[in-house]
Amino acid sequence: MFSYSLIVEQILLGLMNGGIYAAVGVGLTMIFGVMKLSNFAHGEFYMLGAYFTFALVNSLGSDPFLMGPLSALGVGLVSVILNKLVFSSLYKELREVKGSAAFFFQDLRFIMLTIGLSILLVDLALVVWGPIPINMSSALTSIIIKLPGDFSFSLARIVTFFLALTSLIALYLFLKITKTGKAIRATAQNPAAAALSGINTNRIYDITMFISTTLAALAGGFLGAIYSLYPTMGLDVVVKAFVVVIVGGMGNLVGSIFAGFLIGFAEGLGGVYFGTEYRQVVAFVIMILVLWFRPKGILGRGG
Amino acid sequence: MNDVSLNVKEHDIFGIIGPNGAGKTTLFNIITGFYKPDSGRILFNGVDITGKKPNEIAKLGITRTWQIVKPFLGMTVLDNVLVAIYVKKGILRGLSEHTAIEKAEEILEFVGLSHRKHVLSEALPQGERKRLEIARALATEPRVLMLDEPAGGLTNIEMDEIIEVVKKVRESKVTVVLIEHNMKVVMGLCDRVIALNYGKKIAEGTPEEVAKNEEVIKAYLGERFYVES
Amino acid sequence: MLGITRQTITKDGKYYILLFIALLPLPLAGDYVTHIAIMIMIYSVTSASLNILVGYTGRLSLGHAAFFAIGSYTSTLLSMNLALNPWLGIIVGGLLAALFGLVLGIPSLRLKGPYLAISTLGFGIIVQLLLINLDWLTRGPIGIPNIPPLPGGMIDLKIKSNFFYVALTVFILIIFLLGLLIKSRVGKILIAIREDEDAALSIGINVSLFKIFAFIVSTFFAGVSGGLYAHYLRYISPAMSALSESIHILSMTIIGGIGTTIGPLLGATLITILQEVLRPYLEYRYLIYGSLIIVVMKYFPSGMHALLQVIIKGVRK
Repeated sequence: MFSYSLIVEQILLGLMNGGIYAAVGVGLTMIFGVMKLSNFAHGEFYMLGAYFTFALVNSLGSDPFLMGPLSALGVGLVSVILNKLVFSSLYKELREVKGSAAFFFQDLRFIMLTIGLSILLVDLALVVWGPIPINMSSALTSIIIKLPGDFSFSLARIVTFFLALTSLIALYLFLKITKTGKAIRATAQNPAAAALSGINTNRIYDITMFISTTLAALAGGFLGAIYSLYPTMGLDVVVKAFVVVIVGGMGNLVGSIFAGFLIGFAEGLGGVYFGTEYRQVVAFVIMILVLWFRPKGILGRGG
Repeated sequence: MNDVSLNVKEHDIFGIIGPNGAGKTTLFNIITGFYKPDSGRILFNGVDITGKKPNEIAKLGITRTWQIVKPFLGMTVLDNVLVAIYVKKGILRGLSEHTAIEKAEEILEFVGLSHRKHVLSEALPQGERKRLEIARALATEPRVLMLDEPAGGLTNIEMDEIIEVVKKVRESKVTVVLIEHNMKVVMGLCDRVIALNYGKKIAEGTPEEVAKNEEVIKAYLGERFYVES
Repeated sequence: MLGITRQTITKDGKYYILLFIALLPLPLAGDYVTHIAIMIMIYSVTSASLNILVGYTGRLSLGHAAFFAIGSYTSTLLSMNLALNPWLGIIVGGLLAALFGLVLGIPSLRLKGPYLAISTLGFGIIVQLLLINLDWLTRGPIGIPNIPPLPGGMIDLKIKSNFFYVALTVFILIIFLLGLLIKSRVGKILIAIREDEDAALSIGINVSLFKIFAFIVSTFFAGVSGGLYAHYLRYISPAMSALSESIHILSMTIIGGIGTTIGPLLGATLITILQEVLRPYLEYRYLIYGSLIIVVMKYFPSGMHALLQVIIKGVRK
């Protein structure tokens, strides 16, 4: 019925998208694992990564793939500043809370705060850059690579995919091997004990925030080159990212990576059989299945 | 938990002791339906309650309290007890509000918290919170009251108050099963005691018998410290 | 009955009657003010309904707009295609919303925190997708115009000031009812569940049953408010079920003050007025809205009603 090559092409595309979902989802799951915060503004850092890249490309006349990492660092910095200004006092309050109702209300407070931040940032982008989708051109988008089997993808997509993969692996190794990485994992598991053993938890929060948002911003910068930029692009991504986090298990890094690719793959396949309008639903169907059968995530919880 | 069985005599005060991690609270959780056992059955008065939900077990007459107290913090002391009465006596029909409040006040009087009726339970110190939890449990008119470390974290005065309350509970014909670390409490209150270690029963008998038991002493102090007498 | 004493009914009743009387002359301020007031009252009901779920039972829902939309569409389609009396339509809309509430509520019983939140969010998105794509039923993204107004017999309810009195009566009645619910035995049980689920279980509360009850009541009234909206504005579209709308409703509930009766009303009032006041500023609107949410959540987490209490105490001195 459907041509073999169409299916494979969609799957490959889906996997490439999956890399992006994983990159954004990983940051989200880290923030949840370490700070116990459901950051609804995460998508906005992805969006800002895209727009900052555009700003740099425009003023310096360079290529998004070169400016992307730079702008990502910028966004990361902004997020750390925001973290300090807005959230830092609240982490302490969240830790000291007693009773499940009080915890629920504090959590709600956090979520609402990030929602407010999200609204603010989206409108900021709207005001500064306007509502019309912007196309950012890159030398890499025009270079088409032909793969065996008669598939062709732009170099941009391929580079993005591999960069995403590399970053994820690098992050995994960072957390596993380095001292800071271990400190982050320790804080995620038991913040009180971590603090007692000399870890500066506030610094860890900043570092976690920085890594998470830089990753998301990087993804945004590259995706902006491939697709287009619009102020609400973060909102579309963040919902997907939350699904990734839930399917992978909240706080579980490897889980999110796996989940990101799984969802990308399933969407690719689903798009072929169900049509593009219902592609969105695929992610939710997977989420529902996971919540029903393995509520802690496909791989279970983790730091 | 490994092959633990207990027989509790009605109207007794039955104690469960054992070092940390021995499985005492786990046992509580299994009996009251918060955990599911992998094998075995729990019989209450001949009725199989294995696998039932905690609220069903509570309705059948077993109510528990918590090692770390769980009052309904946002509610007053009176309301904490009232809610339990509503659940017991019926939400739609059943008691009139007036009678329900009377009953609640009676129970508060019983545990000595009448003077704190309208205080938010959040404001209570540990000892009073523990008594409130017992009051709330009593409001469900249980046949068995299971207390998880009622004396935990209390000052000496508070401990004496709790002991008094538990004695009064037994007098009112309610069977009590309690987990306790504090030997003074165990000795002073319990009719029979069972000792657990690593999820298995290692001794059973009167408090005096169990306290002298070789295995029990080893469990608490460690093999090295056991000296043959 | 249900633990509400005659005392409470008369005492609360007095306040509500006072409010009713105080608001009676409002239409004299003109059509624009009347319109805002009607919208505030409709959203107050929506916000109050969400409060039952979030504030009193402790279950976070990010998909409430879906139920609002279900109520709207049901009442609209029934009154347009089957010539059902819109008054009945609104009730049926509420019932259908409650049915969907059941559909969402039962599987989500054992979900907590962010898992519950994202699931409700997903539900909202799926409802929106369905409303957009099932266009043979819903007319798709263009929406449905020319919805029949509420029939008022001799009185023309297309006239804003007339509709105002209908909305006012319904509003006062529903808020009064919800207030009674909270004060009743059932309300106390819901609060107990919010405070500590395990403790609630241990004293015999059938937590699952009451969670479902809270879902159904909450979604019923959300649907009713949706129906009112439909027959007042007389145009609806799938946009009303969007995530942004759910967040809108949530922010009204939270900024007003969750877990209180007045909270949702304050929140609905503040935010609706804010939206109107900021309308001329077009694109900057959401900068201010977002900042407001951030400031309130950082410095007044209990919401506006707490702020109000502080002000009242200050004034008393």
